[in-house]
Amino acid sequence: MKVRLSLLQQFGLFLIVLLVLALVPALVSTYLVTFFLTLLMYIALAYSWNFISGYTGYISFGQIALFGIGSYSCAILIFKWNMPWLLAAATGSLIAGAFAIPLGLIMLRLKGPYFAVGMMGLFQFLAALAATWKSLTNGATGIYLPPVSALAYIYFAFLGLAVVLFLATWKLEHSVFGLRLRTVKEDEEGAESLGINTTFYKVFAFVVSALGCGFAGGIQVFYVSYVDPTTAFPAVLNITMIIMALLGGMGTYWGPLIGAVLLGQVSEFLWAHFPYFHLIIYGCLLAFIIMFMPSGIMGYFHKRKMLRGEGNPSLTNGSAALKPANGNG
Amino acid sequence: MQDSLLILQVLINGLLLAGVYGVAAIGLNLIFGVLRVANIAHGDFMMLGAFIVYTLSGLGLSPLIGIPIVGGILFVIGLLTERFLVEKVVSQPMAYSLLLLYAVSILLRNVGLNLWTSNYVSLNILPGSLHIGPLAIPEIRLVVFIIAVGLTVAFTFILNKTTVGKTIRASIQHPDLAGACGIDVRKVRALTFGVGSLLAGITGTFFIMLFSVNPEMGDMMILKLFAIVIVGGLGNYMGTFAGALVIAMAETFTGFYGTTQFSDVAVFSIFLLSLILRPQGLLGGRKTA
Repeated sequence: MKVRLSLLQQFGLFLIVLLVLALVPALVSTYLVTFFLTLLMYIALAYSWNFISGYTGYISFGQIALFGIGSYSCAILIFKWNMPWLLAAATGSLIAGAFAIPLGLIMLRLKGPYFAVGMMGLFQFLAALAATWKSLTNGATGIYLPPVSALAYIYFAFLGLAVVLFLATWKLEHSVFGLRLRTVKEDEEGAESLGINTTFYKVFAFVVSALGCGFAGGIQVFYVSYVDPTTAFPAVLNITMIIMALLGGMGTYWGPLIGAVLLGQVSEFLWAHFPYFHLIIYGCLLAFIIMFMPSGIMGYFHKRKMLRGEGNPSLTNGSAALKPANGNG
Repeated sequence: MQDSLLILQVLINGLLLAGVYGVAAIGLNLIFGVLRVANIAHGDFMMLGAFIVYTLSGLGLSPLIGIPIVGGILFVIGLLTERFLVEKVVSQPMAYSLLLLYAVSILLRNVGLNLWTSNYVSLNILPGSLHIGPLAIPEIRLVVFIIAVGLTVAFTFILNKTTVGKTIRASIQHPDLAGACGIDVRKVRALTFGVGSLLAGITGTFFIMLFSVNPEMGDMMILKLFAIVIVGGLGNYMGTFAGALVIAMAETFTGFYGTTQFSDVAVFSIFLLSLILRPQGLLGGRKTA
């Protein structure tokens, strides 16, 4: 089986899928809308993580920290200034993005495990800060917002975010900009010596990722109409977005989508049947992916020549997909 | 007068804590030295040690007898983790081992949460205090400190004076050359990971005797251990102690003058500062033992 789609066919397929997705709230039950809505959030987050970690090779274990910043910003803007929620979510996203500029400049100097652990620390640090800074965040009590009236709007917000992130990733894959960004993963020092300002590209990817995470956080906060340190910095979501991107194939533009859709179903099933074991199963799944299919489902198909898209160099051999920034073997 | 006494007391507490941190940090440092792998699950191995000794004491076994048993169990677990998981990706780029050990960390933490729930528990043994003049030192802290120092001295001796230690150091300095000299580097890697996990597990048993812990303790511990190793320099054992001292003192002093959360913030700040101020020392530091 070989799948080869022209650009026009891909575009057509994309439009059809988009149309179907746009009709979902009108056609299905409320339960299914909430299911799709969560799925779209997973997709958006998986793309956000993929943007920084998949393309630059800087593995982040705390990208959800920016989700939290978006959540709190949005909640506080709605609560204190009575801002319309979509505007508040967008502002929250911008705040997360603005925060990511100095943060990225500092953190992205760290290589390999230090960046990963540093981001993990940041995530815990911000969660602790949210719990202690009571005048702003109301501490562990949290902030309550007016309940949501129309689910469809939230669905469309997540859909829009997921589509924008998908298109941004698609654009990345098909541009010189994306090529330069990927040199960071392949050989950062080599790229520098060719005159590529790797710091700019890394920080740019980090900021885009932060915008995506922040926006998702903002929408989510309005959806659950409540925020406290645990809902703003959800450790489970942090793990889920990483596994989703890896399962589909990190550093590819279909990967996060495939991973999120597959794992979204699985996690729904696991939550329903094995609520206590689902993270154990996630751990096993992550180990399995790393050991047996490190370039994910996309990489698996590429290896068996079942897909012939425009060549994605990060898929041509397994090890390149996860090549770290420091090139330390 | 009263103030300086208080500061002396806090200093002593910091020193005693540093001895405990040092043991786990050596394990982390050693694993990094030999395998070039950052064991992000190290804190969760500690948790495992803490809760195994907790379970054993629930069965009526004295925690002090439990310590060597935990050491043995954790050694085997570490050995198996290396042999069947880490070994498969050790020649791959670092992102592989990082993500794989992240998976191990998720797995261990949630197995822990399932077995022991998220409640905080502790083992209260030797509740008395040793009084030296006006100073009071809790006996348990002293006992744990003495075991920790003994373990560290024994470990340094093994590393520096025995053949096993020499093979480990050779594998750190030049894995390929060590292999060419007939050292079974694979075996050394498995052994090192086992010993590293053993040290983590024993530190875990200290922790449950000194503080209240729950199965999520690995989260904060891994940050502290990384901070210690980074402050002290990778592969530098004297440095590890310096790092342990810095982190333990920062934690004790901020904990004394502020709250626990405040001390977590302080530890994270030191962690970040050390990363930012000496990024060259992270991977390019001294590799010798």
